[in-house]
Amino acid sequence: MGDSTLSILLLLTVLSPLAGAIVSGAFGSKLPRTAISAVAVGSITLSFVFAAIAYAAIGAGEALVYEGYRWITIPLSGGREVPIEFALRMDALSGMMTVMVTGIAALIHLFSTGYMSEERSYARYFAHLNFFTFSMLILVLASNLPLLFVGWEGVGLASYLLIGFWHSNLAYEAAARKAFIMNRIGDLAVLVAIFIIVQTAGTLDFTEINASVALFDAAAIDGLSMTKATLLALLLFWGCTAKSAQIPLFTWLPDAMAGPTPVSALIHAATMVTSGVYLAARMSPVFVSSSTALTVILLVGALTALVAGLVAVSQNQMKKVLAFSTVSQLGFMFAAIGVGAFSAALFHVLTHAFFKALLFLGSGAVMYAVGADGDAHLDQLGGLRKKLTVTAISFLIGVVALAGIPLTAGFFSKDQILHAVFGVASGEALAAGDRAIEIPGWAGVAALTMLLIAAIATAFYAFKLYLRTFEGEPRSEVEPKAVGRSMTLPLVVLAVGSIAAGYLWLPVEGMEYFAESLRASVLDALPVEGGGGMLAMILGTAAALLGLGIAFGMYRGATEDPLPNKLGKANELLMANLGIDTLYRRVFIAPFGAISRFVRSFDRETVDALFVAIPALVARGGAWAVTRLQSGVVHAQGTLIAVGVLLLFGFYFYPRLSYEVIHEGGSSAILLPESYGTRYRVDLDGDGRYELGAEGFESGPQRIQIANAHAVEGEYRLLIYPADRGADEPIEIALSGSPTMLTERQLGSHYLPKGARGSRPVVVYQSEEGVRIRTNLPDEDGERTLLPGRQTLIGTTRLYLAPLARVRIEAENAFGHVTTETAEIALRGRSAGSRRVIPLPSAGGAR
Amino acid sequence: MDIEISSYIVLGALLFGIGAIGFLVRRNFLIQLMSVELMLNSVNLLLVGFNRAHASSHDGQVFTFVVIAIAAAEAALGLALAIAYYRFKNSAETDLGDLLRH
Repeated sequence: MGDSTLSILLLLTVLSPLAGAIVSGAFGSKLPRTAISAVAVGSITLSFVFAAIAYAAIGAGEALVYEGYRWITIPLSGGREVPIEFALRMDALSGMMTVMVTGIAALIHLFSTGYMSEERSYARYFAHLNFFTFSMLILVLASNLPLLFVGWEGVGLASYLLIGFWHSNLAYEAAARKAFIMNRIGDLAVLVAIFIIVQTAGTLDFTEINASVALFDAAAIDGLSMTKATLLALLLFWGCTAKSAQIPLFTWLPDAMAGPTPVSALIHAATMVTSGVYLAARMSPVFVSSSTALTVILLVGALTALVAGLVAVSQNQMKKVLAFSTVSQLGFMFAAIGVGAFSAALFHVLTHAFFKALLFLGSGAVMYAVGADGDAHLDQLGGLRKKLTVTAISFLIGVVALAGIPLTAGFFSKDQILHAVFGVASGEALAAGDRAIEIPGWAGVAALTMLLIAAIATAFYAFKLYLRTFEGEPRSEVEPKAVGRSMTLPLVVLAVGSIAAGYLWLPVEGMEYFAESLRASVLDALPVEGGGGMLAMILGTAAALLGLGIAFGMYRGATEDPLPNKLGKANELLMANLGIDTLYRRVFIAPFGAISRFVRSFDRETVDALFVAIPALVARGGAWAVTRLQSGVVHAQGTLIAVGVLLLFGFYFYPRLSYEVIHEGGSSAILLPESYGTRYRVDLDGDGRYELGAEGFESGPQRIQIANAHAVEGEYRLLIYPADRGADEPIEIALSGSPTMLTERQLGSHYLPKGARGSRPVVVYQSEEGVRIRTNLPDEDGERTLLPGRQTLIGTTRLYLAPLARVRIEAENAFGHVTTETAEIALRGRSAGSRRVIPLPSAGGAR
Repeated sequence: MDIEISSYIVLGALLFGIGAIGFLVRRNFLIQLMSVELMLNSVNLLLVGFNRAHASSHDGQVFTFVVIAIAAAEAALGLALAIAYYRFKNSAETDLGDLLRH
């Protein structure tokens, strides 16, 4: 098979679950359940097969690319363009994720066919679950950030839909909304990061971004020591804190257990929540460019691992324990990212996917067996091992792996993380490629301490969960139902994976490919020299065994949970997730609610009153008045018709006279419009003879030119064309015998010397042959004469003496009524268009 | 005898005015119908008169026939309505029929 043939597999991998979602979603109500199950499980299995074939075909450092089509083109300033392709790319990193997602999803779909068999909205469930898988595949296979973001949003939507699957329960619905909104808070940061990348690197393709990380070393904001890489890494991590449930945005994940248990297994444990880790690994060169960001991520990750681990200790519902455990394990992964150990984080993603999916499905099987609704309370379980043997054994394997007991998958991956963090804590120098990474030693020590305590807590709650569920005497009367094969088969497969996945990392002959290709696909920070030692492994194992020992000591043979008594108040605090939800409610939600309530009341009582109620009242009043006319009486309505007809007549035959004066091409003219029944007569020069309509009135339209000869003897208008106002419409000044002072505003002030401001510099008055103009400006002639039809300049302002025509216009309407109007029109003449300066007859002459 | 067009116009206007005022002032269904007929016929008169003034075309006369046909149809419909109305109201007073008021 050639590469192009293989790359089609990527498309098929993605489209197969989408097709399943469409079939179940659109036609689900018409299909029998067996058909829906076949479509749902079949489409995912097919997808898994495609993904596995493609993954097997790529070697270390290679990538398979499916080039789709040009999706978006972003124009940048300077004619540059950022193309965004619909392109899928599978390298070792996305390949591992794809195979893991499809594989786990296939098992969980299979499990769901049993678990959800009594559900009414069977088709809707599988449509959503298939849609989730489709989105997740888009997320991991996307070759650029915007396409990844589509998947990122898609899994968020699917998560919302599935958490709120039983949406008639308002608490579940609230949990769904909480998850959705907290994820949006993170998405904001991812979007901003995308904008910064486009602006800085001019590309959104992962390979190209990672190749141009040097650009991000520039300062993010001028004068600040923070680099763009730090800002970007922190923004992306912010996005990850929402999607991958890290402090401070982790509180949605425990609530997300409102969804059906397989959903918790698939979305909120094995796949979606790891997409933050995936994103960080995908852009590892950007992250390792900023030691500051790495330090922040290390500390936040370790703190999350510790806090969630401790909270999980006190929880007494199966899914709640597992939910906080997931948050805690994600904290481990981010701690690994914080020391630049991306491949270790990804390895933990893989092993965690196996054992956490196993644990969730196991608890789902328990809940199915005892008929628990929503969650299974540990106080009502116990002694289930005899009835649910397969479930119990596989669950135990999951617990052992989660606790990190040696030779299980969880042990290997957790050891990788502790090893890397231990290196930083012991002051090893790190470098990613040729770039040194400086994480302060105290941060390493703090993180290592937190992670070790978290590891003890992990082993403790893991075994507590197993012991309280499956060992001891039954604490409930309920007779457990048998769990069908569709549910036990995935458990067994996952249990095998929970052990075997760890050995993928060992340098065994023929197996090194997996670890090597994964390491090659990310930019890990590695110890500069040697590094290692067994101490981390010994510490990790000791922590796991310690936790296991405490759990056995406390719960072996115990019927009551001794933990509340031992911890007292601390237990209550841990049960309530350290009061973080309450804190958020008080600090963020309450003020926001207050603002919203204020805005709503403002909208309702002020805006609605002003712009809705009052106009509505006016309209209603008007309508009331008009409807009074609708009397229904024939003669009254007839009268209205008659009045209307008379008004129309009036409108058409009312004597009207409208005209327009236009100045163009160096001459002036009058325009008389066409008007129904109106005819005109015009006397241009006031001599009693009509230039238009000498024989009788003539109808419009008419255009009559006015020549200078028609002007009235001895009457002028002074037209001022100030240069700063454009020469379009002049200021018109009527002249009389007495002197007129021209103001600064009329002349246009910009040319005047500063000293002349406000000094009324120009005086004009009429004389026998034209007008005299006198100025007291320093660089102008003192006095000059302006003749009619001529112009002169004062500074940059042009003065034109226009002859005045007095035009008599008569209009006759259809009934013979005549309206007369006299228009005084300053004739712009021919010379007004030119800027020629007329020689002046004054003493000084033109200088 | 040659009659001026203005005579036609004046007579037409008078007839139309009488018809319009009759329609508006009287309350009896039949009288109002007659007033409508009067208005229609005043228009007919004008059409014929104008046709005389512009004798080269016969449009005015042709149109008069159309109006007469419409007037006939209207009268038939109007009288039928009048009968129906009388049965309904026991009166020919049009003021009583105000079902379509606001």
